[in-house]
Amino acid sequence: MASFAEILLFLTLCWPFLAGIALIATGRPGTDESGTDHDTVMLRLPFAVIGLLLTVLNLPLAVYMTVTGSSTAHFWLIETPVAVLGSMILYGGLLSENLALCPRTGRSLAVLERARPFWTTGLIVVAVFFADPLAKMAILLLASILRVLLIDGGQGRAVAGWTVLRTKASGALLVLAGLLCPGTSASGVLAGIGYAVLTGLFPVSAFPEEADNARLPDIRNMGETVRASAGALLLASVLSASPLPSESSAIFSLTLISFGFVTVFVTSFRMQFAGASADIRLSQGLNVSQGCLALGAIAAGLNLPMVTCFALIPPVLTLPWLARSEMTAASDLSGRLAEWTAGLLPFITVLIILYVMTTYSVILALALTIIVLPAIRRGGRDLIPLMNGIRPGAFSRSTVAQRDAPISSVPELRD
Amino acid sequence: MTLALALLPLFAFLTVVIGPAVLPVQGLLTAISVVTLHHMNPDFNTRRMLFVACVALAISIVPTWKLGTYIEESRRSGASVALFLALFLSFAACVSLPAGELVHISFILPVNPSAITISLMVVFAGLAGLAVRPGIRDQFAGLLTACDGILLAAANTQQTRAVWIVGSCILLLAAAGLWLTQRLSLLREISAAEQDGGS
Repeated sequence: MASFAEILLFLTLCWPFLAGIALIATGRPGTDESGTDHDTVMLRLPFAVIGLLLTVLNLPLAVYMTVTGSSTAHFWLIETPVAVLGSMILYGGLLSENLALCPRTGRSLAVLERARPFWTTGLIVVAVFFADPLAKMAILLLASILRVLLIDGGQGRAVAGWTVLRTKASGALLVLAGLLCPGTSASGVLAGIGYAVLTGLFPVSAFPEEADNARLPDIRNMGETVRASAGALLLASVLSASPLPSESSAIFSLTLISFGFVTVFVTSFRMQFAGASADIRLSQGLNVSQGCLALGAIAAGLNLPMVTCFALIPPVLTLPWLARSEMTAASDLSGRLAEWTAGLLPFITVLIILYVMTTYSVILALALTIIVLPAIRRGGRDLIPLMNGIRPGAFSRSTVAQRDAPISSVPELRD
Repeated sequence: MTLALALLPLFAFLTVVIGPAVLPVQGLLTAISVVTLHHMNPDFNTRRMLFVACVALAISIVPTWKLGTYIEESRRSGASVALFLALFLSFAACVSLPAGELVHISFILPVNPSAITISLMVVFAGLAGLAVRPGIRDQFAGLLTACDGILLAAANTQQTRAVWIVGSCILLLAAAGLWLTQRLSLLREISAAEQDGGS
């Protein structure tokens, strides 16, 4: 059993890198101008599905080995159910991004651009599975460096790349300093602030606005960003349990919770003052995702790694759909599904967190309720179309014809 | 506490104020400190120590050499704020980390308690420069200073193999930062050359 689990884990960790290499090998431009793009799309989806399947197969093994108490450590890696769940979410985000990008085959991607999400996601998953906290942090930083090298190599993107690298590097160096310089309090504070910076809690933004003319971030950058933030949060949720000593662990939790609270407050404010515009779904979706990251940080501080995983589902899975539907069919079934997921799952997360938090402090739970209530109302109105009075009967196909250009991209697919 | 260790925070503050020109001295001091730490504790792994020292030398000498061809930025704005922030953070680190209580607390056993405070001061100085200074060369110098502090702290622990990964990651970080800095500084070099040609 143990050797089987080891082989499966090894395959899971190797798969994205092999898939990326295969995508590069098959996607050489110039061989066949009409067929190449279509071929890589046909390859990308199965590759992402296989990655997700391998991780799903890992889950029962990890649960079994944890329940029976057998050794879950393989060489440098450690296989816990939380890590497997987190990697499932990350691979799910990869699949969701590839699915959402599927109809845009007309715009050909660069060769490296096709393989990049596989590589960065693979590095983040490796970081989640590593046993040593220092090595975890280093691998996560490596994923950010790879992202900057591959995305921002183009002309005119150096400032954006430096901004990302600066934020991620300062967060990672803070965490490393906190882990390497053990003290009673300073270690917890430093690691907490570092993880907050990496996740994109309040003083920094998880979704920084692009420097050039695009007001909202590009869909592919957004997937990268949200997956890196989710990876940092997963590392934080695992860290707050084990390797820090008890006192600095308490301070670490406190730091994460306070950063999460401030971020939820600011995001709730921002959601109230989001002006009505054409892309309100995307901007509110970004706000909701930021709020979900903050809720995940609160859950990580409360030492609930499973709830952190649950809070990470909506941003990682739905954000590509919310970004895409603005330019293509708004009445897609999966787009609707993404809207409902982004609207409902954070609400359930808030309920779980409130349920746990009342045992610690009633005042904090009341404060969280007061902070979150207006955001829930506004988010429900903007995201879930049934509550939106302008769009009644959104599920019926008859209303689709009234909206302008909803299915315009589908014929392009057939061409 | 050796002389190299004692001089290290001073040069970190100088790097925050002056920029990348002071970096080689600081990298040299870091490497000397790492090697001295190894000499004081002979049970350390020699190859690991040498690797950390080489990384410290590489990330401070190569960027300075590569960036030397580019023109200095004339404005020095933000230096006093960065210096004040660095001094404040270092003071806080010194106050909050009395050296006596450090040992036998954490899962990573520190070897030389005074080196921990020094490395924290260096990291704080670097991060203050990275956060406050507006010019990209100064920010990059701050980043490399913080990396030096991390390397010193990593050499100071009994931590086993993670040092290799952290060291290589810092090398890659410095390379990526150097690449971006060169791309962002190129324009200034051309304009300065044109000014020289015109005048």
